[in-house]
Amino acid sequence: MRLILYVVRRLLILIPTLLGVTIITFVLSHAPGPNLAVAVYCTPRLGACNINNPLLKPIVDQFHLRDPLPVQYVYYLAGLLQGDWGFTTSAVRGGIPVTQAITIFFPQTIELAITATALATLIGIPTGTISALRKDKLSDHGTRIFALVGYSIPFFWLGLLFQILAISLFPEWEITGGYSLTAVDPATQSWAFIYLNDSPVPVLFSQPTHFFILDAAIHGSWSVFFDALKHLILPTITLTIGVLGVILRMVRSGMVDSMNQDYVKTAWSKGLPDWVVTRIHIRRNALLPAVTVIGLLFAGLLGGVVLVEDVFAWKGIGYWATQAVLQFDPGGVMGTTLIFAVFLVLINLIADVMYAYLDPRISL
Amino acid sequence: MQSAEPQGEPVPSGPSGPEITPVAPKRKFPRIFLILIIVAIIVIAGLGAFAFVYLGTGSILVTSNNQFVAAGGSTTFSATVTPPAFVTKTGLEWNFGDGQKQTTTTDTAPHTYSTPGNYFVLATATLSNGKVTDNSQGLFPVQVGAAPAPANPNPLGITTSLGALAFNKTLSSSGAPFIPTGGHIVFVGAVGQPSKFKYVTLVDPLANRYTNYSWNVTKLKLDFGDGSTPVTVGTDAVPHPASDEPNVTSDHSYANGGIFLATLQVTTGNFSNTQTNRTPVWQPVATGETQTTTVGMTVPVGSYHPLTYSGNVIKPGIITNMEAVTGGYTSLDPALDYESTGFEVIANVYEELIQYNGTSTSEFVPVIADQIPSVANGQITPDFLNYTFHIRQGLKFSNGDPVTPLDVKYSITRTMLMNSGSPFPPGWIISQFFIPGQFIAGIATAAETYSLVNDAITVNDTAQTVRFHLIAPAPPLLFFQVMADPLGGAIVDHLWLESTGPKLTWTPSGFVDYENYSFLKNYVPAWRNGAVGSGPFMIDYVANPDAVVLKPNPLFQVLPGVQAATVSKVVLQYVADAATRELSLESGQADIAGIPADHFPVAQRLAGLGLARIQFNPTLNMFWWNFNLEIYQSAVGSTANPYGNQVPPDFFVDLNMRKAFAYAYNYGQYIDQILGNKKFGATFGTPFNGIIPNGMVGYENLSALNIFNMDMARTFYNATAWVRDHGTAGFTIAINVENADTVNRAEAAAWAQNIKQLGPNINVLIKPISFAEMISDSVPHQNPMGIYFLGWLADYPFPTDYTLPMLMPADSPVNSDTPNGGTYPNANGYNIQYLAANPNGTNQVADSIKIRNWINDTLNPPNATNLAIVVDDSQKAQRAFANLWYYVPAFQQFTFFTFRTWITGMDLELNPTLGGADILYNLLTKPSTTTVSGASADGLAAASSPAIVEVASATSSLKAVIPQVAGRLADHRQRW
Repeated sequence: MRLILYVVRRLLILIPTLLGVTIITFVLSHAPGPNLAVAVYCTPRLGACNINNPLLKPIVDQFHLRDPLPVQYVYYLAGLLQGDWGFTTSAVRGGIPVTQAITIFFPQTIELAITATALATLIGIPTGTISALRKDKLSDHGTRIFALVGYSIPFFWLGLLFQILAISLFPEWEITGGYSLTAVDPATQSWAFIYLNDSPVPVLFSQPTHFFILDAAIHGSWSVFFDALKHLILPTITLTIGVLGVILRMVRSGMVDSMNQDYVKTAWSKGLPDWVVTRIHIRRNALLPAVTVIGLLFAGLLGGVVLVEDVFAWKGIGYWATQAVLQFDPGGVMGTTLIFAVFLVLINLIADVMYAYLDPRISL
Repeated sequence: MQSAEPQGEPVPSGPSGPEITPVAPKRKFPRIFLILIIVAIIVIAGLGAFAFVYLGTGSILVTSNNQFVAAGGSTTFSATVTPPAFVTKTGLEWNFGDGQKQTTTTDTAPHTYSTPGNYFVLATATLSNGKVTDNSQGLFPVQVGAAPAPANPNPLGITTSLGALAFNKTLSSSGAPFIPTGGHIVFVGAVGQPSKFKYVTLVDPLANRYTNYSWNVTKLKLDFGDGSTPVTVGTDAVPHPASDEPNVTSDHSYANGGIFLATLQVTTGNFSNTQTNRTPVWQPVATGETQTTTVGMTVPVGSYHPLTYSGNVIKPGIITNMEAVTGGYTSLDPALDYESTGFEVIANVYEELIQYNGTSTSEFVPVIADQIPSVANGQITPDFLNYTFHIRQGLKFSNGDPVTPLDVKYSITRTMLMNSGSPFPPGWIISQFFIPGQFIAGIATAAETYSLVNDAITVNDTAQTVRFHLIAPAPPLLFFQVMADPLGGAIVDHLWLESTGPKLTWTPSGFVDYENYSFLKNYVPAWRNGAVGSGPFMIDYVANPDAVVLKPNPLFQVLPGVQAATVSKVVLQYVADAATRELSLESGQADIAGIPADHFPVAQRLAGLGLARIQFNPTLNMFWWNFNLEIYQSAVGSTANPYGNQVPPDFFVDLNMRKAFAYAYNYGQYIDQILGNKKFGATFGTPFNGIIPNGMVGYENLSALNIFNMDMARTFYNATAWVRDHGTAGFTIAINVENADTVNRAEAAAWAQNIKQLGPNINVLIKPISFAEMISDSVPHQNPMGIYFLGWLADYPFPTDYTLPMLMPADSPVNSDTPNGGTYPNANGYNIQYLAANPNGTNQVADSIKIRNWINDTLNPPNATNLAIVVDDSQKAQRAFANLWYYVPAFQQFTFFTFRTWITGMDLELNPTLGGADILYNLLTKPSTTTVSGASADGLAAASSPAIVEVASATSSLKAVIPQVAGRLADHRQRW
């Protein structure tokens, strides 16, 4: 019950948080003025590219560009509550609804973030444990050096390096995108496509989850599943190496701290088996800070690792957010910022709940 | 040998036992000899290895800075010789494949190819060990295109025909043109464009007198290059019979080995005449002039092979093009899309009434129509107000629906109805012939909209014709260019449109309702992300903004000039990162990849390894620096100008000031070093002045006006009213360049250094801004930019598409918010009345009035349909404009494709209407097997049929063209 109340309380705090985020972002993204917002829809063949051009009236009216900024914000907020998050012109040329862009780009980033975080956690926790237990031995030094190097190398450089290695060893290995464009076949994989207004032209948009690799597994298209998995390998390894170091070091230092505690010495002296002492008494406490860090790392990855997405042509949120800023796309800036904020708050909430689960001393 | 055993005491006798016979002591082999033997073996082996290596031939790798040059242009070859150890290169001999040879001591050899054709270069290095090494097993290919069209008093440019020299691969020796000694080649010589050209111009309406321009091919001569007798068809002064296409075929054997030059000469005769009757009779009145063109082809006879890739073909039968695109396409609806990414898909999926003939931009082939309309065949009325197209029977869309006249009317009607949408659509291009003021939004009532649009096109189902009724006469060349544009002119299946979206109701209110679907919020998803056409491809699926995948249209009908697809899929993948694209090209994952100009050495490296080829493409894209004559919010001293301009708004009204800046611009350094022609040994752009680009009808070379001279610059500066009034006070001016344009930011910085030297206290700021900001700044009377860099990509290859938007001064009241000038003049304050009201501008009024009058004359009856007058007026206007220096010209762009060597047909993509960025994939081939070995003899050309291999004829590569990327300001983010 206390947990439920805690979660509800935290979710309610989400509302003023998001309100603050939207106000600040709205003001910043609309600072260049309405003429810039309308320029993307214009060409000088129309005459002046500003809100006074009668040929641009439909766009001006659609986005309320003549109204004062606070009024525009109110319209935006009203639209937000009704599911209309505006339009973004940087995600797809010409513009698409922000909600549609989220369904296109966010699953790509989530796939990458989940796999990279999971892999880093699966490797980082046991490796950090071993490193701590074999403190100051050769293996400990090795893992610490590996962690430092992995954390220090820029993602994009690592990504390019892996691409070069991959094509050198396996020339047929596709280094871009999330799936083989020629392996996806509308004739045999109906789950991967939608048909707009019964048009015979298929549009790639997998069902039901929109996570391509998951949908392939759900529908039993194992060749497509393994193909998508193969495409996931290089970007995942690139990201994993980067975040693995952090997790490894956090676990190690937590373990080392715990190992020096009196209760651990008591446990040893009582003759408990090693694995009991390590797992129950040492690691459980050592994981507390690591859980927080893992949560933050995951949230950071959700923000989109822009350069990795760029190098692997992995069109995720990071790619969209970057284009939105570069192309003066207020709708895109608002949309990406909002989605980041929502997920950041949710992930921190999950991390706090996990914290309470791991440490009974913590009360929610 | 002394015994090694020591001498012992005598053994006392005792009981007898077996007798022990002493064994002779073993002689030990002296260790020293072992060592000596081993050393000897090592030395002998080493000497042997050394001899083997030393006496080897090493290797040689040939590259060039440009594999595609125009005839008369030069390219520089480099030979990287890797000799054996302790060996040096003593000499280098070049055979350029065109009959020319050269011996050099350095590793580079510049060469100029005088005739177009396909050539292979052999380099032979002599070594100090007496050996030679050459690239005979990897001859380097060079493709030479047609020379730039010279200035010609004939307004239509050429009186020559360029040949096409090919060979029949099936009937020739295996591996042709690389044949063994004694082998043979079946040559086929033809003319690369129509062998007859006729154009009629009315010179005297009262006397009904016409000038008939008429050129005919008269003779073809095929020379095999080995000293044997050439084969000739026709004679100089006699036009080839009208019923035949001139050609020459000959099976020739090469008895001796070597590298030979086969050539095809085509002689064209000018048979123009003047007729004083309505129906001209094409009788030559005199032999007239003759001109001869030559194309060549290297024929290596002996043990030669071209430089090519040997190994695995990645994804056989599937072409992957990784393009430098962010955001994918705007729409696949031809009535709404106005950018190059969507254009490429539309151009491959749809067809138009007529299409350009190969690489020509002034000749057409009928496609949806079965005949090109003309006055002679009665399908164009003599007043040029009505154009009738007879629709080809039996054509189908990819979904099986028949192509009907109604589809034509429906498609063009919706193009017009949607021409006022947002994002800005291409419909104005066609609408200019049917709607006064072009834009549908400018029509007051629904009834008027319906009347104008519906009555513009008449369908006759019985006769199977579609007739266009223009509101003003238009010359056929212009109208055909517009109808050949896929954006707006593509024919869509109306049944598919109505099954997937709202129906077009043929009533006034129905028309007005339909206009709403041109606005972003009302875009019909199926139309935006789908396309059902009759072209060689159909869409397999779309994954915007990641990719579009095409597959062959099984219902496509092959027509003359429009061939079927030969690959099983085309993947258009949009990848933003240049390094990723380059790696993919190198690995073979991508067959074609967009490599940015500043990464050109990457392309050269891949070409040098034999993995890729580079092809430069001419475009009509022009770029220049604009002077703003009315700088908004600019004042002397502190100012609210967002870019820091601290000069009076009319700073650039003074012609002397503009000349000072123009003479301070180092044109040569820009082209050679900053743009990089010399720096990279490539052709990224060519200089220009005026506005009509090279390759468009009416072009004239005014680049001699581009003079860099600081003394003259200072002289003009000191003569300005600014210096007269402010002395040495100096000024601060800003130059705006687009954010991502690092090349021109560097140029702005270089120019700034020179500007600062005009006088004391001059400060020049470089202000990078986004393209969107530039567009939003370009508002009459509100443009805060002082100097800015921008360009133009044409909509159609006709002079008025450039002269009107770029040169036409307004003649409006000074404070008018809607000045009536061209796009750029309006944004830059170039207004006759504004000049007249300014003491520093009055000296430009007279010429500006003339410019306006000349341009108006090209747009309005009676001269708008007279091509000769349009060209003459346009040239006068651009010359006058050039002398007024409202612009500082930068360059006319060349783009380049980098593609894997297993791709053929890229030379057919030289039509500049493709913008140097888009590709028609039915012209390309890729092996359908996983391995290729040695050279594919197809070399640089596409096989148009299994039997005939067309070696590149480089026909009309620089004729008038229009990159129909978009009729808007150049967006550097767009695909280069």
